[in-house]
Amino acid sequence: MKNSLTRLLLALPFLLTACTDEQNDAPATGTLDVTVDNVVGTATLQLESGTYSSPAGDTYTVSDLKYYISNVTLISGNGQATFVEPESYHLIAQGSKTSFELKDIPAGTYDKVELAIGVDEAHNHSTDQEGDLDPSNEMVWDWDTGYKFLSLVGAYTGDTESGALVFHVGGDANYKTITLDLPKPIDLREQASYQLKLQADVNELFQGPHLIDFDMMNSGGHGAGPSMVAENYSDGFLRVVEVK
Amino acid sequence: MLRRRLYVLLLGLCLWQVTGCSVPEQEEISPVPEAYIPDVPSNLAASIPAPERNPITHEGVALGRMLFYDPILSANGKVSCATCHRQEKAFTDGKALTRAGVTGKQLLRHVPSLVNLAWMPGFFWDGGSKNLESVSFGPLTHPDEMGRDLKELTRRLQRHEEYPKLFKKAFGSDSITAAAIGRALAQFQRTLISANSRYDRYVRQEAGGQLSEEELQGLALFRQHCGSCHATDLFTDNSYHNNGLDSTFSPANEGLAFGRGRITGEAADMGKYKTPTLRNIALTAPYMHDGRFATLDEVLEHYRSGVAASPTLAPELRQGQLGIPVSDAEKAKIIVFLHSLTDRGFVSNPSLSAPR
Repeated sequence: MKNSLTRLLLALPFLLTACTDEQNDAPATGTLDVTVDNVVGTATLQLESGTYSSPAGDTYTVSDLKYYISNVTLISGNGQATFVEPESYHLIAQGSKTSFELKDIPAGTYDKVELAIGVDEAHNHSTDQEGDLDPSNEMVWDWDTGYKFLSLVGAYTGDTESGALVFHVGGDANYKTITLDLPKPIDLREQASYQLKLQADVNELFQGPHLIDFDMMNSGGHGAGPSMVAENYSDGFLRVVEVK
Repeated sequence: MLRRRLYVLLLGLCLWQVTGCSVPEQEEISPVPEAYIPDVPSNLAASIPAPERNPITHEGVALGRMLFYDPILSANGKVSCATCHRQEKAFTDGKALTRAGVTGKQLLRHVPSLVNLAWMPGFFWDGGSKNLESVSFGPLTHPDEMGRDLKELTRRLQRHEEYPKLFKKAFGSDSITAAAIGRALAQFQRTLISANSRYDRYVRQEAGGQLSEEELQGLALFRQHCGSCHATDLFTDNSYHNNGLDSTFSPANEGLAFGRGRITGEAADMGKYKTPTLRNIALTAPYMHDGRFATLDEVLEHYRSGVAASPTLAPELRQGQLGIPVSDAEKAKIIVFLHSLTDRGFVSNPSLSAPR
């Protein structure tokens, strides 16, 4: 109680003055709407119903695709401005959530987006978290505490085998930071709100650098070591379609 | 009381002063949960460690205790944490591999005791679970344990007559989250402290702390032969060892028999398991990660004559020969000593029992 009292007394002068400046000036911050289209090649990913051809020539379907986009940062090329989204964990799930909004971005010009696929080490070792990191989102391992960074579940028909596809990728080694150049800079002083459209190509999970043949590999991703799927998602999985 | 009134008056003054621009969100005046500072036995530690995000409070412990004993946590409403973690057995259930879960299917590992968990860095037999706040989601959601979908569980607790109020008291919000469930259970489990056996009173030189000549000899033998792993007064080094139960490790069940090796992916960790604490060991039979030994005598006999060789076998168990060379008389003395680790106060402590 004593603590709260002190805090309140300290806050008093600010409460009395804070409102006046903010009301008159032009907004000092802007927003960026980020939308991710999950596709296979050029076609929009259709859960269950879509049948696709993998880069290694296998046929497959997807029943579930989820992954974390986290620690989204906006950077200006000249290094003058950087915006780091606080508590930045977005569970992209085909069929439910495919967009998020960055708010309160200080007005400025930005021409790069940095983001990660996965959950950083500081948050990956305990699952008593909320929001998109809530353990009820079925993206945690309880027997080896940590998050599944990406979950792709489906079925495949290969050259010699057919069966289930279950890629659950996690582990600190598979947290990958990606930098995307914007086709044109966003200037929040000129326009307070922008839209950024990203595309995530499922086929890119199975190629570049590692061509994944489902006859040979159709599950996995958990573990302390590096995952081929993770190396693939750090390279070409996400790309910028447009910014406006 | 006077201070509270002053506080309200000041808050009123602020709100009145800032009218004209948007009213700041009113900070709710709710009582702050009271820090829980138990007496920690001096031979264990100075205080109970807890992460900054989940300090131990009276309200949090009370809520965690209620949840621990409530079968509402399971899919069929019949299984609580205490179903398998029974206080009178130092929070074990006496079965080698229990079938007490919601499906009745036999589990693949032995129920571990819940004792002095605040000082353990890893949970489950392989230490895969990294902290007490996260560990409960394992048994809660495992289809053959409590089988509970966490979203369903939070909805169910939210509709409950009492729980929203108790979460509000413990965590300041009556909006129940899985995270808060994990934290409350962690707080209660950190209070499962056992260090008041006759051995402890002997170590602390307290009244009632007499050990017999045979027990003292057992203690000396124990320290000599067992103390490197069952170290300190926690009676565990909190590490992972292959104690020679098996010579091969099956990849079945996603490599469950790899033990610690399943978690780290390292060949050097194959067949290693966490050193269990020996506190209340006389109450927690059967023994080992799969409950294969029914008695302490069988356990000691394993260390004497049953140790199986494999590349990851603990070096302590291959000093010239396999196992620990002890005579029958020495074995008996060690077992007598182990009985002095039984803490009757712990297994009958009403503050750790089912509430009400």
